[in-house]
Amino acid sequence: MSRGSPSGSRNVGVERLLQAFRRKGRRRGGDHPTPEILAAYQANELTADENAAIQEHFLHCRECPETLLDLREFSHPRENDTAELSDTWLTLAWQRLRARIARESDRVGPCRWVATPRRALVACSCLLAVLLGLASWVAWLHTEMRRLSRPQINFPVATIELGAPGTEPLGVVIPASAERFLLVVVAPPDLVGRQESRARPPAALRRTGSRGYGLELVTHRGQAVWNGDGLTLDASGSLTLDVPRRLLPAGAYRLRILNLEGGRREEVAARELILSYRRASAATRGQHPAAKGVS
Amino acid sequence: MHDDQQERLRAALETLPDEMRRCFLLRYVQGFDEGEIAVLMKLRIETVRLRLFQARGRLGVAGVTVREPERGG
Repeated sequence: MSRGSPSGSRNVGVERLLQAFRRKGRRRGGDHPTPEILAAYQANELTADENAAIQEHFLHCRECPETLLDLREFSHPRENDTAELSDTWLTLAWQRLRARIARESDRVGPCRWVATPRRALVACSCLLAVLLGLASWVAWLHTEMRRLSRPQINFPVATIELGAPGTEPLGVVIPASAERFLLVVVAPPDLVGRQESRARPPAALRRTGSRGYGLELVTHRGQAVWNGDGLTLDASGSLTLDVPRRLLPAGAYRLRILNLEGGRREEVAARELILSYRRASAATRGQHPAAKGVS
Repeated sequence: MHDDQQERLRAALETLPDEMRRCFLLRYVQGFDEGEIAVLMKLRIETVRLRLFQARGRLGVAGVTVREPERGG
């Protein structure tokens, strides 16, 4: 028994369909409800009896429940549902995506490698490390330049009096110093023991009349560690030169004095040396550092 | 299924309320799941589960054993 139409404005066509549906025998399925009736059933526009009739029809029919479920899906799609896509739509979507990727690549250009945040961070870190290294190196260069340009006082002096030619090596003890250069004063052998002739060049050198001399320091293996040309005798008849300390670590050397007249390099004096360094004691600190090597 | 069993099932189904019977038949004859039955019967899914549980209980009392069907009956 009908409980009254829930909606007074039900479609006349739907009403007629329902009447036809009822006449066909709903218990045995009979004629199937149309999609319009099913839509009305889903929208709660039918009476209770009509709902019951349709539900009874569902028990004997397979198509109508499927149709109603499809209507339900269409009107109330579930969130996780994904619609089936046609091949044409997929192809078009893929072409659009490729075109977009190509445009993005062209726009980024040379900076493509740092497009990702992680790569950009790595690049910035490397650049920062390089900049810090360069800054440190420049600062060190400035410090070195200031230190090198600062006039050096209190040169450690190594006076080497060659004396008479001998076979034993001459021991030279040099005071330890923080300075960079070592002042070496070489007294040729003819001046030793003759104070009055210190103002005169030694005989060997006087004889040649050379205006320039060369001095060579070689290791016991024959490797040259320092050489200087164009040296001239001072008032005391000695050759004075400054040598970087780093070139003269403690060890055995051979000192050679060369005559450079006429472009030749003639050895006029030579001596084996053994250099050693002595740390300044508390008593000698502040005094003028001097060393002597006397044969 | 034997005739006597079918008769027993039919008699048991007739004793069920309409809503319960329809839920039972849609589930174990037509093979719809609980969510689909809820849509077809315009019920909440919890109500459908309850009706099925009740129907199984009553049929079990009547000596009818129910097993889960495959989809499509």
